Amino acid sequence: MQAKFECYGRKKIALVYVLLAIFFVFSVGVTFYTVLSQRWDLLALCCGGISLLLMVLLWLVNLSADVTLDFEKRIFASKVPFRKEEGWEIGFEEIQRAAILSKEELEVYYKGKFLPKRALCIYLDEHQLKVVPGTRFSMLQLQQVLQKIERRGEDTV
Amino acid sequence: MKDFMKKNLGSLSFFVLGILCTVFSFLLCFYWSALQKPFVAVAVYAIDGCFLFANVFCVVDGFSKTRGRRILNTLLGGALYLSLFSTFGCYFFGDRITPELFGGVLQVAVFLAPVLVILLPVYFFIAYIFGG
Repeated sequence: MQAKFECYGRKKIALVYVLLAIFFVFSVGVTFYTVLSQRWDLLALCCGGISLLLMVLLWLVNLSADVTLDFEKRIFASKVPFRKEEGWEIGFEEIQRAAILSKEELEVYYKGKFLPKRALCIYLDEHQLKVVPGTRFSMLQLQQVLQKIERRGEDTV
Repeated sequence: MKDFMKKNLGSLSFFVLGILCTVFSFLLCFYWSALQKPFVAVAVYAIDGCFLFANVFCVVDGFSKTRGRRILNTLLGGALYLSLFSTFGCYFFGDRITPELFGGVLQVAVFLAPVLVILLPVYFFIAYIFGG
């Protein structure tokens, strides 16, 4: 059994789809108008609209960051990049505890400007921790992941 | 030099084939007018199209992690190349653009596709110049 959490909250996904719909309606509308009214000077607008539509589609295709809890293999995997780490995988046994930390709390462990506003931290011991940046997750999603990690010992997900 | 050639023989032959394909496409179209024959035109466009997606695949292969994403990125990337090229083409002709000229722009985009990887810096430079 697996519990998979895709990045981006519902509001952000809705925003992306609204953006996609706007570009789609714009490009199809302008193309139809150009062909029907034979105003070929608008061809650049059609091509520009279609280019933007394709760019949004490419962006959507490459939204790949997510976290997975595999209850059969007893593995917690993150594909969310943080610092130079592209992704990582740890066994349930290695997890001591997990917590959602704010930027100020993270500064105790990491130095530098570009820290996420909030992050899910998995403590391997008191000094070593793995970080899942939480800015691209909704708070609800982060709490759900935390809940699942806390219930990892149980058979049910 | 010989070692380099041996190690990168595949890539080098791909680039050389791409260049030859582009040169022959332009010659067939503008010099010999052979593309007026439907059979030759279909063959040339098909070969150039294959090279277009092969070139885009070379670019997207580095950052696409799964097979599905690789395929989607290749298809969308190829389409994006054509649409961006035609956008610049349309802006280049301005109000004088006609369906025939637009067809010509698309034709040039397809002919240049086999050398897409080699010409990528040039495309970016042109985009930078036109972008201001």
